[in-house]
Amino acid sequence: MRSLVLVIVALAASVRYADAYPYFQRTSSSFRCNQCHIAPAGGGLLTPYGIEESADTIGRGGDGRFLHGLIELPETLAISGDLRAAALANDVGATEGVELAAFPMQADLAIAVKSGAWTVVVNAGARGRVRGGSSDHAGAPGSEVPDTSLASYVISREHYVMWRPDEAAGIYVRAGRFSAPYGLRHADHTMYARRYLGYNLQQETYGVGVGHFGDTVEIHATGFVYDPLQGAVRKEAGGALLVEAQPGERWVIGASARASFAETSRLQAGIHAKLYLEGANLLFQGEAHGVRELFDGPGDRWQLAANAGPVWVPARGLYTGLVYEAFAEDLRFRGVTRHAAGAWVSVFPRAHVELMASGRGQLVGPDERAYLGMIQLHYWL
Amino acid sequence: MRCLIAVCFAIGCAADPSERPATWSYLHAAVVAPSCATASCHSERAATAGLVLDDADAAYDALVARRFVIPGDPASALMSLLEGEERPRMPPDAPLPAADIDLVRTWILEGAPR
Repeated sequence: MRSLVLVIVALAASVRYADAYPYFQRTSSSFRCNQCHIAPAGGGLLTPYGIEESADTIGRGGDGRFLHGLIELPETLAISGDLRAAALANDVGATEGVELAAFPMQADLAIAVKSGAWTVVVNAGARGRVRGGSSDHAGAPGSEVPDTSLASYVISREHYVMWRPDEAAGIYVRAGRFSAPYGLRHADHTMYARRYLGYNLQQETYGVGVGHFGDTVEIHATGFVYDPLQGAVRKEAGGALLVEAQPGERWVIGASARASFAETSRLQAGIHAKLYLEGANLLFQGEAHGVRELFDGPGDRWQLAANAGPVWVPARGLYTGLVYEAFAEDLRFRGVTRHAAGAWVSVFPRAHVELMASGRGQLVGPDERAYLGMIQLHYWL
Repeated sequence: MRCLIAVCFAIGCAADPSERPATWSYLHAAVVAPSCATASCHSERAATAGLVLDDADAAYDALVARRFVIPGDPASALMSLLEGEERPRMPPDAPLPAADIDLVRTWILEGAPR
């Protein structure tokens, strides 16, 4: 039982919050993330267009509106929520073998209120973990007493005010807590390009973002500082820049840069691209980032994080893909590079429902291996 | 310099990872903070198993006080967790590279210096 609790504690960290799936760009009818999402760089609450897309293009029908249209919301209000349950088999080479677990993975509620050019977005959800896993060493000197206040179980990942005079194109400014746009922005935070580059779970920051988007080019610039209220792993401050262009109807290309200053400072830059072959319903996407880490003590290091893979849409409501990832922890030393290969399939049988199965194998250094198989049931309001 | 590093990496002439400093300040920044002090695990807020690892000094004190690390003893509980002899293996989503585990072992053997 102790082991099961600890596995759940740790793997509940695999929560896939209501982020966007970047492969929807081009494979659906949308060519820009903020056509479907209220957030200017994608993710989270859907626009009326995105709600229609969720049922009529991505899903196999149904009513994509809030609560399936049972309640008609005014145009100035958007409400959504995500519930996700998961089951997994996890093998990290432990002596006791494969571990099995099933657990609630996500419970989020999000609201947006719009008035003229102004929009306020707030979301809140469970922290996605089981508190106070036991240990043979718990209770010994040096152990921390877990915070059991309500705030310790709930987190607002995003809350911001946005000024955007024209939803179709033009400038925007937003201020509050959000994730500074960078790279491909995969939904899965366990991917190396998220986990090790400042976009792991609950690493959203407070900041001010400005941007401009048109039909073929968009740019997002953010100045940020860590969240002192809800806890932050990295006490960082810095800035991020994302530029994305769509030369022609097949290609999406982008470049990103991010500098964050903390006990360990990190300077990073990368490129990303998508190529959509419409006739074959096939999308290729990938990104590569170089990182320079500067320790506050001895040492520094160069890192590399990359991923690439195809996504195939064989039928409406069915998406499947492969992905290869690599992360070099320190390019100057051998034996500290991680590789991962994954395969996944997502089915959207009706609006509001997603079933997902995925598998991932990792080679860590030359010898260590880890395997994860997971199924998820996702329902959004 | 960047090209040189990239070329070295590509042809496999990178340095021996045991050349890295076996000190707590390096280990914490390079291994513990990115792999263990994540938001849902051993961060200040989550404190899973009552263990907080995001601050280097506090993490050192906690690991030693709770006998996860016994300076000079390579059979310390931390090694069992990292090597998978205790369940769950840490980190629970993927093991550390063997070179990193070896560096932790060297650090403990050398008396776990800060």
